[in-house]
Amino acid sequence: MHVLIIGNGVAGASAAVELRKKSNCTITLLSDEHPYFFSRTALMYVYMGQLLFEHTEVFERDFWKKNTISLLQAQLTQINFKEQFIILHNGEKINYDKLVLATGSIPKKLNIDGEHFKGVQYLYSKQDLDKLEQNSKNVKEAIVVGGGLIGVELCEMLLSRGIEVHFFIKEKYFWNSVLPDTDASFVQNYLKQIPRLHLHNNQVVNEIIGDENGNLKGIKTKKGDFFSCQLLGVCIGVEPNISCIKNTELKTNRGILVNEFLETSIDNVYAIGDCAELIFPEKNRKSIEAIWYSAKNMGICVSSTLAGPKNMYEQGIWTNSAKFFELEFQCVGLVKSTLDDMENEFVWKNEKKNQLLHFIFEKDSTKFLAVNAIGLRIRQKTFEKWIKEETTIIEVLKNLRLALFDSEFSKDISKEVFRLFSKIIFHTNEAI
Amino acid sequence: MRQFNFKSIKFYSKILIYLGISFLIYSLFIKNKSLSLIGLSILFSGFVLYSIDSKEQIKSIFQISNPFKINLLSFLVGSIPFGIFFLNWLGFSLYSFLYFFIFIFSIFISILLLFLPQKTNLLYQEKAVFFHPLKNASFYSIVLAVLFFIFYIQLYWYPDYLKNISLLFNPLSQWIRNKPADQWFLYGTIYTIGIVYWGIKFIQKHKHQVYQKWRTLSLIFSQVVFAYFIPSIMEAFSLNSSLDQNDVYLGYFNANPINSWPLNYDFFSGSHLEAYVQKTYQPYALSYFIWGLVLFLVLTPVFTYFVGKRWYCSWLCSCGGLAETVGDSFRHLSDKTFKSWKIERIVIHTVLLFVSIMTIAVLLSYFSGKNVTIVYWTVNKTTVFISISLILILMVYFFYFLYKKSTRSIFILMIGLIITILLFLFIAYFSGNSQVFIVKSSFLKKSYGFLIGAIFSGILGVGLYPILGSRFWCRFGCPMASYMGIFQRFFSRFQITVNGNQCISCGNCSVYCEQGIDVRSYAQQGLSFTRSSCVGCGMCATVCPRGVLKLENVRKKETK
Ligand SMILES: Cc1cc2nc3c(=O)[nH]c(=O)nc-3n(C[C@H](O)[C@H](O)[C@H](O)COP(=O)(O)OP(=O)(O)OC[C@H]3O[C@@H](n4cnc5c(N)ncnc54)[C@H](O)[C@@H]3O)c2cc1C
Ligand code: SF4
Ligand code: SF4
Repeated sequence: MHVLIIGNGVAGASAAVELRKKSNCTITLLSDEHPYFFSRTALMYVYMGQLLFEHTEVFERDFWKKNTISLLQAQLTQINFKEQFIILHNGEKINYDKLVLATGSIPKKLNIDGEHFKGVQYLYSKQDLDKLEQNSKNVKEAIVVGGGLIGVELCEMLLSRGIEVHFFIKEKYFWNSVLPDTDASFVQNYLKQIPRLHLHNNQVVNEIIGDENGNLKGIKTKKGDFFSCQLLGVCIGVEPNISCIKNTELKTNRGILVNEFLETSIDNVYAIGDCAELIFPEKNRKSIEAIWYSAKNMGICVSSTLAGPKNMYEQGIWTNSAKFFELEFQCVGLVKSTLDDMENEFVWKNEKKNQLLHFIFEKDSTKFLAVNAIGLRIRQKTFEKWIKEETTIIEVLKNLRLALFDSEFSKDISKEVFRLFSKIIFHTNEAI
Repeated sequence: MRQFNFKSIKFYSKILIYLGISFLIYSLFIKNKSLSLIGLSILFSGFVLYSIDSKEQIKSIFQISNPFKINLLSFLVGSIPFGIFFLNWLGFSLYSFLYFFIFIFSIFISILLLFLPQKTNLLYQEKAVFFHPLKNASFYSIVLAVLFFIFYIQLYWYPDYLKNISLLFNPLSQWIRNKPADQWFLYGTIYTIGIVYWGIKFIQKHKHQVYQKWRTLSLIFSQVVFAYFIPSIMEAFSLNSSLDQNDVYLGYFNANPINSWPLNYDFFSGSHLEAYVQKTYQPYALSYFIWGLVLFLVLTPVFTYFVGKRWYCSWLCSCGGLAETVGDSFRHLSDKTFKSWKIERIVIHTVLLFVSIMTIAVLLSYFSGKNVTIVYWTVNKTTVFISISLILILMVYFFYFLYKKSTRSIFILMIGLIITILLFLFIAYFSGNSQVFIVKSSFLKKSYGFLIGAIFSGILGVGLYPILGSRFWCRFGCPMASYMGIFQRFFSRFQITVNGNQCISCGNCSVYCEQGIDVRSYAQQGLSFTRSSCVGCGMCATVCPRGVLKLENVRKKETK
């Protein structure tokens, strides 16, 4: 059996590595970006001089040969689903028995005038990083559009090279589309203190302005203000990369539609990672989750199905993590940007130390649902256990010490958190 | 216009640098000051030329926004002591009290400057190790390594060349030791200054990480008090390395209370044994000896059981102290491949075997045909033989008792090591003369001192910092590390806990692990782990951008 995997990102590579543990079929891993699986999330550290690009390669290079996984750097241009073969950009034909599509995402475009000017760019691939290296030479001021995770990473990268950065955020606070107001404003306040970073909230870029040589000069906002810059980073999110299967019989919506077994509408074709769109997502979950963890889990899951027997993909308990400059963020369970009717919240924060804990629990049963942690490390497994066992919020806060993950000798804040909580219940007389 | 070729500049500048170095070395040998000055200027101009690789770079040197321009003030202040050191090294006599004062004062100011509110720019610059010419195993690093080599060779075998720098520290030596400075005092002093200065810098860099702060403070304290002041003060009070009324030398022992055997391979040497029972040194010398025995036999296993070998390697040890502070800028250079892990395991255990056999040979030949009375206790060759055998057999029993299936390979290794040592012990005992293993025990000791003590731990261990990373010696050579590593892997509570599936495989942890452990390979699978070579520096946890790792002491359940 020949398993052909398109895309060697975390989804594709995990599928290949896990499949090899279970089966000795022929495996080919195809990508146009880089022959070896590397960590996309580490690209920023390469630009900042903290890592070399080779360090982002997750396995030693001879690992692939040892595990007889063939690597191929080429672009897929066409798929013939009926006769089960693909065609590469150089016209070469490759047959497959099973095809796994793990083509990842592409960055969203602004779709406004002037996006073609030299100095306007996105951040997703290794090629984008190389381009950034070129584009950011001799740049004094840069503008980053989009108040999300990749945007704030790009800000940090540019600042590390001594560039003055203007950060344009559509929302009231940074990452407000995901975080509730308390948390988002907390992070926003932290970002305000970063030297040479200028935040522009509630601002939308309307037009990109360049000179007659095609070089970027600046941008104009909706309000009509002009900001000059020599580099414009567009980080307004990603969308599934389905260009290579457009106009085929494969069913797509925003992404490639897959069922709970990650099977597409065509037999022997699977889709995993950022490019897959679940037809039936679990309650409270999105149909496309463009994050590392989901892509990795999908890859591991599909490997079982490929080796047989079929394995169902479970989204499980939502968890994510990020870092804004020196501020770490981690969540277990879903803390929505606005509370449901059923939900209640409890927030503890220490502004001086930039620490915040945001708990969500059910109003009536006081069952613990989710937590956001900023500036603190928390034990994912412990919180997951509490969510699964439907532990009450009081029990959670009583045992909070067990779930903290900060380094040894850090101050134990669990008592302080519990004290604040008791105080609040005592004063509000809520039914807890 | 013809484009200027920057490649040819590189070539010529390299020639200049080589030329400068040869001039320097030559001038050192013939002790010619003007020649060394010429060498220095050639070297310097070579460096300046080498660092220019494009027109933009020349321009950017003058741009204020260039983040990689060194903070001028601290650089200038910091270069004063370097300058004084260097010129003395080259043979200039800049060692009057005034120079000593300027030397210490500028270091002090430079430390104070570290506490100025730092612009974030500087932190970026600190972190961007792969852009730094010295930290990147580049051509500059080789030059730095060569300078280290020269220094160490002179230190061990040609101390005359270091006379002027030693004299610089004379006021200090007179003050705390009551004696003129020699090359070892010089070495100890700059070693300590290095740990203090770069240690404070390290704390500033990681000031939000509580573990790093306490650990580094402990390293600084241990170096200053245990390794530097206590031994010096002992000498000042004529309790070590001193002369009696008739100017007869009374012997020397290493008075650093945390320098344990087998790292301190001289602990059981004849001259040290004599110093321990020297009457004028009592009761300190004998207490030191007993403390050393307890430290190595009881405290080390117990501490390692509770917290892992980090209590020593990255909280107290001087070698570790230098690696963690001065060597911090080079930690990412350690080799992470599987191959180097294999080599590491063979080499480090061989050194442990070597030091054990050497010590046995030295002990037995020292006691052969001799009865030494220590307080009430008379010791001869047979008592030594029986005590060592007993200790070894107890160890076998101990390990068997704690044997877990999951650590089978290390169990076999451990038993193999002990049996080999026992075998040598028997040969040594029954061969019955000073020539315990065909060769003389003094020859064994000398070769150990030369090969391991001087070349491996000194010249290569520190000299190769800029090329192979800071813990080259700790990882491949240190017998103490290998002794504790066996305990750590075998029955310690210490582990690095991995936080669920939070890892994004970015690789920071592996790159910044000075022991070359591929931390990512465990982290991305969500597997908590304990590796025998892990010194518990906690850097993997500190640099991880997703809070995936934590150093912990936990009661482990029976694994697998
Ligand atoms: C800068 C940045 C930072 C991020 N940080 C985080 C983070 O901190 N946490 C987190 O959870 N997520 C993060 N993400 C998102 C995360 O990286 C993605 O969710 C994840 O990489 C998706 O993996 P994948 O395997 O599905 O796709 P990808 O990693 O995108 O891999 C797809 C591969 O397929 C190749 N490919 C596509 N089409 C073709 C074709 N036609 N022919 C050949 N090859 C093709 C692509 O070149 C690419 O190499 C970040 C993303 C970026 C860009
Ligand atoms: S594994 Fe972590 S704690 Fe251990 S030596 Fe490496 S970086 Fe230090
Ligand atoms: S630094 Fe953290 S996130 Fe990165 S590979 Fe290591 S454990 Fe994973």
